[in-house]
Amino acid sequence: MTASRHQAVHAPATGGSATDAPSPPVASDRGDVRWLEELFRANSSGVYTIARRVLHNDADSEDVTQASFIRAFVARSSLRDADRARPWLLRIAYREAVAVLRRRRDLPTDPAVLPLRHDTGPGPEDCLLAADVAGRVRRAVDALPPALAAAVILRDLQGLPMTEVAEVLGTGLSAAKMRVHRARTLLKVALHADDRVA
Amino acid sequence: MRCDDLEPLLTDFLEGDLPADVETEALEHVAGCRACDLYLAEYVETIELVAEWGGEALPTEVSQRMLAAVLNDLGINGSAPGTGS
Repeated sequence: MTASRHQAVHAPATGGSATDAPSPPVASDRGDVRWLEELFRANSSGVYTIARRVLHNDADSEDVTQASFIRAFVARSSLRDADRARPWLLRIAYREAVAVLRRRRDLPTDPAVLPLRHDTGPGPEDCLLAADVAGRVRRAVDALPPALAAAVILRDLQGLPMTEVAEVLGTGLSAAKMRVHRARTLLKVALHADDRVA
Repeated sequence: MRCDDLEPLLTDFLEGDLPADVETEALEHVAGCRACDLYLAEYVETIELVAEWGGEALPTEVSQRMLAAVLNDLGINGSAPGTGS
């Protein structure tokens, strides 16, 4: 992962709307644009990873990633603490991804109760990855319900404190801990069922 | 502490959020229970494997294309020096 959670991003002092829906942009100074670019470089892979685990679809995940940064830029004045840009952005991304999920009419609306994803078989990329540990971990995470996958990625991959995991997921601390624990338990079974990884 | 008591405590155990007396009980149980010791080792290994996987690393060309699309959608023409580097 190329993004560094410690990379400094600064919130611009002015400009932008705090409304929910992106609106036509106002004229921005170079500081605003630079802030957006730094935010994108530091977090685009992390945002995409969250979207991909929720949506299981490359194109939709790219769309959600782009929409998340657009929404973040439009709402940038609502970011009061520059040190919290990462969880603030990830919360936007998670909500965007869940919104897309909810628009898929054939799926339940609560990602916490979605059934485990049944793998339809490896694609070309999966075949290349299947032989290594990263591929197995990725496939195991992909098989988790979206809300559990997001929780374990936020805590164990992106290293957010449990309080920020709860903030991103929009849950209480206990619920966030439970999701992380359930995800870890399912992953443990998947990764250790037949043989040892590593 | 019994084996069944330990499992739901693992997250708080690893976060350091257990009360001291419960944490001591958990440590003593793991020290004396081969099954729970193995379970905890696999649980921790699972956490490490997820961290080592690292998630999706967007290829540079994809990242550049996405950033360009974001800037374009925002009506921002021309990016700051170093975009996509």
